[in-house]
Amino acid sequence: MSASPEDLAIRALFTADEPPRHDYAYVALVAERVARHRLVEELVGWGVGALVAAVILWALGPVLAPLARPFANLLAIFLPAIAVLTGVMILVHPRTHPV
Amino acid sequence: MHPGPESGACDAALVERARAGSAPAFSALVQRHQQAVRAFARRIGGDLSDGDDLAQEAFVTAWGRLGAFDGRSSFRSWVCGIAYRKGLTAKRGVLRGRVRDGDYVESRVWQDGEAVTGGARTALHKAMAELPVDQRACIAMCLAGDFSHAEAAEALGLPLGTVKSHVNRGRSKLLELLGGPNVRVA
Repeated sequence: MSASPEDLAIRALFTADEPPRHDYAYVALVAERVARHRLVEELVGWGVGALVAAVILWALGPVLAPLARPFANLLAIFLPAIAVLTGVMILVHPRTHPV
Repeated sequence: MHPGPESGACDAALVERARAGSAPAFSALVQRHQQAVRAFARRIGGDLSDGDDLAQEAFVTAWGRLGAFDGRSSFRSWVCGIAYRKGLTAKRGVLRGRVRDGDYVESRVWQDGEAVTGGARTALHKAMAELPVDQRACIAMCLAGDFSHAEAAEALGLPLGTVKSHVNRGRSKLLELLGGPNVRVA
């Protein structure tokens, strides 16, 4: 469908306010907002996960405590290491997305 | 930021990669379509910076909803649809924009090269502000932009016939407000 001269004239007026074809600053701004959005989503996800895990452990505490007692010394050494490793995995996780 | 390996890929491939979590793929999509989406948002919002903010929000929302993009429409019209719905949700903002349009275009200082057409463009902005939002959106896509009627219908969630009639009515009204069918760009 060919545009009429009036349509072309209107389009020419509109074109004057058009953003540039390449605007790296704008793209960077969007990327920054997306990254922030993603970070918040992941923090909320991990926060909820940690809360659920804590509630489950609290509920199972009376059952698990007698079972864990014989391994108390071993757990005292390895639990902090496991906690640190989990923390590192959480921090590294966003970077495992394909780029 | 320079064009990476994503710059040559088609939209579908970039969407697929972005869906898998690739930020550069999504940035390539933004780079490719920011002009069309921002132009659309500016035209429905009536203000350059508000339009750019609306387009930015639409892109961020699109990132979060990539899983829902079924590829039936083009990526750019899908994002324009998100921007349109966001504009409608923030209806108070859009309406405020319409009231403000007159002040904005009258206070705007046109650049040297724009001086010749400045008056006509002021009239155009005012005329756009007079149109209902859905008519304005159809004009912004089909008359000001290079979207097809079908693309606009898909993006705006309107029947094809409604889009066509909005474009025709909006066009007539614009011509009328711009001073008749002999509208010219000096």
